[in-house]
Order: sequence, then C-alpha cells, then structure tokens
Amino acid sequence: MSQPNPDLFDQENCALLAAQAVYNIEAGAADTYRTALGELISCYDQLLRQTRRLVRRSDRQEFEMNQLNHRLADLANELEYRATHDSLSGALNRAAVIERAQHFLARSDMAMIVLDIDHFKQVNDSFGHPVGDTIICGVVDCLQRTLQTPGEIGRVGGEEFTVILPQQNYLQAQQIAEHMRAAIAERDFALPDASRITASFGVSWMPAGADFGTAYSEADEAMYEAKRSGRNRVIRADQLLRA
Amino acid sequence: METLYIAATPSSPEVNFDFGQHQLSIRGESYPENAAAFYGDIIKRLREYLANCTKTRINVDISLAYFNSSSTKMLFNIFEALNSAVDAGNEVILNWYHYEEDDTILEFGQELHVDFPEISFFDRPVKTA
Repeated sequence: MSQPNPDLFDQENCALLAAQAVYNIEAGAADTYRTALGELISCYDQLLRQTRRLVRRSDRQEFEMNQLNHRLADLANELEYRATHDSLSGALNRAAVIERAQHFLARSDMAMIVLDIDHFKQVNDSFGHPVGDTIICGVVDCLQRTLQTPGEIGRVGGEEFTVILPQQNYLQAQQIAEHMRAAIAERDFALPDASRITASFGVSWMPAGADFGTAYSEADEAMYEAKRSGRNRVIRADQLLRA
Repeated sequence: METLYIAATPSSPEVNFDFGQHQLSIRGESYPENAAAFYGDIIKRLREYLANCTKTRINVDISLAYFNSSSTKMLFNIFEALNSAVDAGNEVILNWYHYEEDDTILEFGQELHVDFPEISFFDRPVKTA
C-alpha cells in the first residue's frame, strides 16, 4: 500500500472518516453509534486542547514579533538619522547635503549658500574645543531659526556650512543669507572675552539639471571673496563673475 | 532496535533516537517545508519502539530554539505517544531545554507538563552564549 501525502491532520481526518462511515449505517446497534461517538469525542477533545495551545503560542509569538518589528523600525530610523546627520550640531552631514542637493537639482532650480565662521581657528585655540563646539551649535541654531522657507542646513566641514534652497531665486537666497549673517553677528555666544562671532557667506544659483559640484564651487568662491573683502558679509557668485 | 539519526538542516532539527540506550533527543530549529512529512516517519518509528517497551526508563531531551506551528502540531503527537507509553507501564523523563530568557518556549513547556501529566517534566533553562 503506497503512503499518501502526509498531512498535519491525518489523525483527525481518519477519525472523521470513521465517524462518517458509522453515521451512514442506517439501522445499526446502539452501541455501534455510542462507540463511534466516544472515539469522536476523544479526538475532538484532543484537537480542542491542541488548538488552544497553538493559538496561545502563536499569539505570544506574534506579540513578540510585533515588538521586535517596532524596535527594528526605531533602530533603522536612528541609523538613518546618524548616517545623515552631524552628531555635534544635528545639521545634515556632507554626504547627505550632496545627496539632497542632487535630488533637488534633478527636479528644479536651486540656490546654495556656503558660509564659513570667521577666525574660528583662533577662537578654538584661545578658548579650547568645548567653546568651539558651542559656537558650531550656536551657528546652526541661528541658521535654523532664520530659515523659514523649505531648505536644508548642512555642516560640510569643520566650521563650514551649507544651506540648500530649492526654488529660490538669487535675490531671495541673498536675503536669506543676509538674515543669517545678521543673526550670527548679533548673537551673544558668551565668549570669555565677550567678543562676537561672524561668518562670511557666498551664494550661488543653478537652474534645474545643474550638478552639485558647480553649485558648490561657485558659492565657495563667492564665500572666499567675502573673506578677502573683509569678512562678515554676503557675496553672490554672479556679482563675482561680473567683477 | 536500530538508532534513528537525522542530521540537522537550517530548517529542521537533529533527531537522534538511540532506541538501544532509550535515549531520544531532538535539537535545533524546526520549520521544515513539510512538517507532516518530516515528523511522520519519526513518529512511526517512535511508536514501533514504544510498543516494545515495558517497564523501561526513557530519557527524552528536547532542545528547540524555534519551532513553527506545523512542527508544534507534530510535537503534540510525539508527546501523546510518550504519554501513552507511561500509561503502558514505562517511565518517561522529558528534559525541556530553552534559552533562559525565552518565555514563549518556557511557557509552552509548562503547558506540556499540564497536558501530559504522565511524563516527568524537567525545565532546563540554558544561559545564552
């Protein structure tokens, strides 16, 4: 006799077939039915008990899996955040700035602001790195408070930051940069010698389809021109080219 | 009676039923593609062995880090068979191994203890490596 495909419920199926066979006997003896019913009861009882255990067990496992999935989602979010943000200031890191800028430029025009804190090395050397860190965070705070339009703020180097502004024209971007410059210059960073912090700004604007490298190098060049011409000012890359 | 040995695979446990020593063990993880097929022959061999046991002390070690619902259904059949063997005059000692912090498997073992009272049940928590 060949073995049919084994099934999880072979035992229960056998019991069912046996019960059906007895049921089909039209005028059997009373104890024939009683015996069959007894067998069916014992099988049913076992099935009920096993089902109860199985459901309880799978409920527990589902619950655990659910909790693990939530934990996994939280960790994935945290990992994503850490991979894209500067741990000190909470601004985007360099790689994330490049990625977002390329994303914007693929769809629309985009203005870019590059700024660098003036004399940062001197401040760091005079007052130490913890004070330097406070300044970095304070500058990012000024940028965040000033930025009212859609845009992203990133820390691309030690004391160098980038603000990317999709769908903003040159004039709007220049005004935003000017507000940022003023916010930093007016802020009290509580330095031991009560001195002020300033930053120099360069602004570029690119039509949709331009690449990140061009947008960045034009803004960077304008920022260096702001440094050369006295610091604590905003220079647009298009003014630079005409000069 | 010849030992039944089945090596572990990533989805099925190692089965080592040393009938001569009355020492039966299942260890690993159990989510085979077809649990009825995997456990079907094992249970058939187990029943043949148990039918010939009289006044025998049988040691069973179960150490499953994970088993799916289909495997659970088949495990019930193994425990039914062992429980009946006690009714037939044998002694069955079940060592239920689980990771210390795995409450799901611990609780499942405790339920087995309730459902199959004839089997001498021993909870064996194992520290995670």
